Amino acid sequence: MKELLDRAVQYKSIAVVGLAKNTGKTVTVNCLLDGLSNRGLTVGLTSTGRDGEKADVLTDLPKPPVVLPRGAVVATAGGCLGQGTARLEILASLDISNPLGEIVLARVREPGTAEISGPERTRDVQAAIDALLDWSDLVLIDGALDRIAASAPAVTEAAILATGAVLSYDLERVVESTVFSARKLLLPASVRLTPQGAGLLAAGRSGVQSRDGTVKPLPMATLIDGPVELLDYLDAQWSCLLVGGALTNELARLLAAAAQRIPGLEVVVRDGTRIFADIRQWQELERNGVSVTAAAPINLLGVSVNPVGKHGRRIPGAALVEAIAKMLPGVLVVDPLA
Amino acid sequence: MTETKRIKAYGDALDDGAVQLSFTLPVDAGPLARAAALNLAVQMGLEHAEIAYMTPVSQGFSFFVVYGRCRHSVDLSRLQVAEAGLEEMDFFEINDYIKEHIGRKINVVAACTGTDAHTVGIDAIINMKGYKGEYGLERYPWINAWNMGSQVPNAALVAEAVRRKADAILVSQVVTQRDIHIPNLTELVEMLEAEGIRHKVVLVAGGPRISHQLAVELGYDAGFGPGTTPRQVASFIVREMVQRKLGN
Ligand code: B12
Repeated sequence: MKELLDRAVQYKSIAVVGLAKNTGKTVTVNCLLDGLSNRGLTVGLTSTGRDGEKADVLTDLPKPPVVLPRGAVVATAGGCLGQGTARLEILASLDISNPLGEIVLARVREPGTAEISGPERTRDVQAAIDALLDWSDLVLIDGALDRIAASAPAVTEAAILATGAVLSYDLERVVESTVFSARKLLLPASVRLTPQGAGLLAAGRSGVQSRDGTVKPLPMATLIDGPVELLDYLDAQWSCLLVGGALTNELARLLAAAAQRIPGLEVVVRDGTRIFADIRQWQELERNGVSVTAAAPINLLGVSVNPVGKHGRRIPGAALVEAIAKMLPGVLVVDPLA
Repeated sequence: MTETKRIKAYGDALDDGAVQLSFTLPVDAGPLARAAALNLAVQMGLEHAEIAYMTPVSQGFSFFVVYGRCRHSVDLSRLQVAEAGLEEMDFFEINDYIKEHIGRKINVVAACTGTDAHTVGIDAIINMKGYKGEYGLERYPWINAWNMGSQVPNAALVAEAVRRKADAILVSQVVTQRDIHIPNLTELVEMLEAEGIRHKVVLVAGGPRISHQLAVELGYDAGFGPGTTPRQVASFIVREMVQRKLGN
């Protein structure tokens, strides 16, 4: 954990996102809260969706509570205040709400447990982070379920990926899906992308860029379902596709099939959270020589591992950490409870 | 301090805790199966448990109905319940509300997504003829509704929503075996975020095993369960649009 904390203190906002529910996001967040406040930092916390409630709405299994250190600041729905043992003082209310009520900022007077229910939509998460940063040194975002949108560089400066035995009791399979998810987040920055192309992507629009760097926006409203007319805009000259939205299986399939005709085809997405293609489609792109890059890379601080699965059964934690670390050189892999 | 209000299951008399339970065991009906069922009921904490009914259901399986007393109670004053079903408006009120507060027709795109092939639920909400004596959304003069049917991939639903400039996206999930609906529903939310349009739409999930609380946890604006009627859904959509200023 020490090394993860050393890395964490270098950023203003960190999203803890998971491959699934019960991958130990809350435990990781608790370790960060504790470690960072011990280093004298005022930590801000919010979540995308509910966190720290006593039981899981899906499985009714008990969940670990969020444990807040003194002085930390949280952004949570008013309806959740008073659900834990921590004593909170309301500082301000934000002009954002979720289905449990208006989101308020509150400071921890007496440490203890709490239920945190933050904004649902990424746009609102951004606003909550900005507000929290007025009161804290560093903000943590606890991502809900398998949702990773909060780790986009437009939202947070860095990310931690949580994984674990809940995915499968087969160590190999946990490693495979964790490594694939991490590689998507670690997508390298495009070297070809021009400032004009980057601007187009930042606005969420799609386009094509030619070998000499000229950028042409595409007339299609979206590329998400792999519209065939897209191929009319790609050739050996216009070989760099800028995808302003999601890179799905549908789009990947279209591109892999057409790659032969478009030598040097590069697909630039905004960042790794926009990739929805599965492992098979991804490999298909690779096999056809299509390179996928990002306009903005994600700072993946590390991978946290929860070796305990759904029914309390464990897979060997040390072996899991080692296997993932071997496949992801340079990425810190930790079991926070080991 | 709110007053506590504890209740127990009701059978013949208040607080008797009487419950009825049914389940299947993977063992042939007979004295052994009966003992197993009783033992299970006792482990579940039922007092005075008795096997009211046992029947073979197929080779190697038996079905039971067990009566017993559950000593647990719930304190109603301590429960937190999330509900989407604010005040419902009727067909005419909803159309008037759209006309007055939004001033243009609203666009609704609906589908039953993933591998799920059940269309009856989403049809009940969208189709002209409607459900339980209420018109479906297609019949509303101030709503443009598109029903894409079943087994619609998330990417196709998002594409349709973008092209139709949807104000609301309605998703039905009926099959929930092995929690298959969960990753399917979160994938849709994440795709909408990736396309940068999540904050521009009202996102609603529905199905027999969808609760409002679950939907909200998954990142939806609302969830609707069994027995939902079209106007409950339409009321929610238009109020949410106005509250979030999505109508412009
Ligand atoms: C009809 C039916 C079918 C038909 C569907 C035909 C069709 N065109 O839809 C057929 C025969 C094709 C079928 C197939 C299967 N079925 Co089927 N089917 C049913 C059945 C009998 C009725 C469902 C129904 O129409 N209900 C009526 C509608 C009006 O109710 P509803 O769906 O709940 O919708 C309401 C609300 O939930 C809500 N709502 C629903 N969606 C939405 C969406 C939004 C946005 C909103 C706001 C509200 C909303 O509003 C609706 C109106 O109030 C149910 C059992 C039952 N009695 O419920 C099984 C059932 C749903 N089927 C089931 C299964 C397992 C299957 C199969 C997998 C079987 C198989 N092994 O092949 C296949 C599925 C194949 C697939 N890929 O999906 C299981 C699901 C179990 C589970 N928990 O997952 C059920 C529960 C049967 C059972 N007990 O096992 N099925």
